[in-house]
Amino acid sequence: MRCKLTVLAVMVFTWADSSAHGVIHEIEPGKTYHVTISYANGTPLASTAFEVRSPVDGLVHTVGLTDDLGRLGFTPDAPGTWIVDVWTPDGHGAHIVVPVDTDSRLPASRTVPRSGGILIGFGLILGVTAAFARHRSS
Amino acid sequence: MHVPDGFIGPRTWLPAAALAGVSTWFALRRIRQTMQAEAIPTLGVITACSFGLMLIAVPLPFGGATVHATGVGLLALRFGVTTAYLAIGLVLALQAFLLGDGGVTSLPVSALCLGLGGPLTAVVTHGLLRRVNERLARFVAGWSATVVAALLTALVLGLQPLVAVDAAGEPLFFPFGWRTVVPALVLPHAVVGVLEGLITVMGLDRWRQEER
Repeated sequence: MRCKLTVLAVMVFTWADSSAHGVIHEIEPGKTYHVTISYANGTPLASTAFEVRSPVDGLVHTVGLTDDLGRLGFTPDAPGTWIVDVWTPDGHGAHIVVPVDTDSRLPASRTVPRSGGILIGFGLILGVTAAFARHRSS
Repeated sequence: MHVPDGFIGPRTWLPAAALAGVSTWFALRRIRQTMQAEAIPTLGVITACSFGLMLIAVPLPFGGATVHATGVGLLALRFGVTTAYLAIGLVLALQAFLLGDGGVTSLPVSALCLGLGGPLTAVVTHGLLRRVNERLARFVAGWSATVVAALLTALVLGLQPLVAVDAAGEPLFFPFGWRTVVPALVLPHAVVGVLEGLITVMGLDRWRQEER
């Protein structure tokens, strides 16, 4: 019983915290594209090195540091798939794909709620081990 | 240690994927032969706890970094290296595919560093120190598993500017060398390793009590 309560407490705490360790981003299209990068709890990746690569030749188009709010900007000069890499020295960061079409409108991206992913993860772990236990006992 | 896509070049992650694939096949064979059915529910609970622990970020008072415990020491000492490897690999895969925490191409490297390097370190450290003091051995096993896993990840990341550069000599993937990435990754994990050690001690105490 205590074990089950401990697991429940971990799940609730996880839900409440909703993870600060993952990195999320928002893309704001326009003539100049703005990308805002933060940890999942909202803490911005401030003063973090970034690099933007062009889809035309794969060469570096823009380099710099994000601002205090974790924002960076670049002005694409060609349609295609632009790549934004952001690195922190401790190995965190993001590899962001920015699709740019001819009239600079960003297609809607798929967004999966993080809380749903967490629940699915717990469910899959318990389901896989339950199936394995059933297989072993039979 | 959730390394995103684009940080590790194919010269590193392709061999790592092959090694991780072979390791997974070997581990699956071994777990099918040795795992007892009564222990599997406990494995599921601890693996779920590991998944939860990796989602709880612990902010550090310096540098703005956050770190997390993993439960790798507890898994290794309770179930052994191969089972811990599969459990951690499953957790990392779920986090990459469901939550985007860590990349898919970097998954083999993360699985080998954290899932194999961590448990091996925990088991070896525990074996060396258990004659001195059992609980101290568990604590150090949890702490060292975290630190060694971080060190292995840092070594792989710091290798990238040496093995993956363009014609001008500029890094194509992770740009920081060992001198930067090793302290940036290992020092925070030396702090969170204390939490990992405590989780290992308390978790094993709990399950030993239930076994009596």
